[in-house]
Amino acid sequence: MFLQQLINGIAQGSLFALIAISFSLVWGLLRMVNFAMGELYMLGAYAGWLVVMHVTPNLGVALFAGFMVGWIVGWLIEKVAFKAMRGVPHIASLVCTIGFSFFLKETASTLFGAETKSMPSYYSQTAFTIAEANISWLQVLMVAVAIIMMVLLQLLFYRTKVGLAVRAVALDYRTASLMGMKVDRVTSLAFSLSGALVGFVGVLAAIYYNAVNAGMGFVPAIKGFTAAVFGGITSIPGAILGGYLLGAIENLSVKFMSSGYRDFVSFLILIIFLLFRPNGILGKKTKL
Amino acid sequence: MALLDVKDLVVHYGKINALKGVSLRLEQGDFVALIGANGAGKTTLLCAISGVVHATSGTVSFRGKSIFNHASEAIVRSGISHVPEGRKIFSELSVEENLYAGAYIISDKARVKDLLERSYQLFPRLAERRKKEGGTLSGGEQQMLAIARGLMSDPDILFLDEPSLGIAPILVDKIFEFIVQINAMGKTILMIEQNANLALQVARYGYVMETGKITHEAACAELREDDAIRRAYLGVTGATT
Ligand SMILES: Nc1ncnc2c1ncn2[C@@H]1O[C@H](COP(=O)(O)OP(=O)(O)O)[C@@H](O)[C@H]1O
Ligand SMILES: [Mg+2]
Repeated sequence: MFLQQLINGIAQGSLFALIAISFSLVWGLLRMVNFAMGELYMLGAYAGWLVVMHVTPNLGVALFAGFMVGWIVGWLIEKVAFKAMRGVPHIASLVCTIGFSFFLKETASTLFGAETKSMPSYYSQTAFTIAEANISWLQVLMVAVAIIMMVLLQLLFYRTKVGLAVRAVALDYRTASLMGMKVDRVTSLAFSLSGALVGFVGVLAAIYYNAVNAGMGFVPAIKGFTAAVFGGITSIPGAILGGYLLGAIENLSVKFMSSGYRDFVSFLILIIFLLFRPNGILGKKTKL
Repeated sequence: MALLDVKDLVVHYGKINALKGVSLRLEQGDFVALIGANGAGKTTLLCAISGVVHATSGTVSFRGKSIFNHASEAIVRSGISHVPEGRKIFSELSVEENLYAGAYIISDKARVKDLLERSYQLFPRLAERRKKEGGTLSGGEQQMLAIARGLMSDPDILFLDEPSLGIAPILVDKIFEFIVQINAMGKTILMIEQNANLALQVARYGYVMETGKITHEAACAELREDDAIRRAYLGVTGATT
């Protein structure tokens, strides 16, 4: 029972960790929260669903579709909510992303209907059984895909020129532009990438929960944000750690309280960390 | 034709008129010092040329082409590298990453490697610390890094804003030796320096700024002999030294 919850927690934690990375990326570059993150996740899920229902059952194609839809809509949000609003108070951009959140949710329920679509299941067979705990192939796949994503991101940020530019712009965009870095381009790229990541996660989540609907992004986005704050929102390793810890804590909490309180646990963590340790577990004090 | 020709440059910060029509010329290979009291507008002048600050009016031409109010990322591509006041090291990037950031505009990898080697030859201290985070260096090391990073784009002109600011006195001479050496390599230098004594000794030509205007300009040897300047900037009150 304990082991099973832990395994479920790690699988879900992979999703939270990737969403948390997206929040960290946007925060690092713009000191800003994108409140439409959940809707990017939802759009990614719909894109994946459309692909497997109407185009091909190939999961790779579905994941790619979620990634691309997240990229494109993320790019658009950056242009409207951040680039066009440069120079006006931060709050205007925040409100604008909230506007996007409502708009995208409404658009999705208009286009696809209010009812929940069911997603075909993939790899639901048990891969291993350890002490009565079952690990499905899907769970293995989720963790593997998340780790591959994280490694790719790490390579992108630490081994490429673009990655260096993203880090430099996040640290000091004025000085970065003195080095010839195109701050707008770099910001737009990283923002789109954050959208693509959550779009991708949306597809994984659609399969894991077998469900797609317009409101599906709200709770995971808050959990991803919690995971980011938990680990230290300026730090990508922190986001990863926060994601897995949150997944584990949430699933294990079911042992101690009724499962209805599960979502509440993450809100509690969010509040506690915002109040007492806003720099998270790994974040640096100086940066918030 | 001057390498860099600035005419009647005017800059406002909101209602504050920080530059009130400043003109300045740099010839190839020059070493020019810009001195003046705090708040005179020296930093603003460099920033307006390098595109960090938007100018209200005037002209700026580099090799005969206007670069007036171009974006800073474009200006560094044309060959002017601005080492900002306060060094502005990327504190969480390593020394080497800071240098690579400086070479961002150069796509030829072999050339970047050569420039990196040159930085390490010029500043062996940085080679020892190549893997350290920029933020962990001492003030003097950070200044070396800032200068080395500025050179990584292999510019024609290097702007230096207060290279001695906040640096241990024993290191200041060392930093200035480096700067003289860089000028000897053929880089044209425009340097702001609060330590006017030192600035007028190492540079060849000098401009003096007061509240947004150039009040004097002459060869440094001449400025050093000028009584008004000696009193105002060189801390000389009585007889010659
Ligand atoms: N970002 C800014 N916003 C408003 N005023 C500024 C800004 N930067 C500088 N100033 C003002 O412009 C004037 C010139 O400043 P600056 O160029 O930094 O002088 P210096 O480098 O000679 O000390 C000062 O009066 C300063 O207060
Ligand atoms: Mg200054």
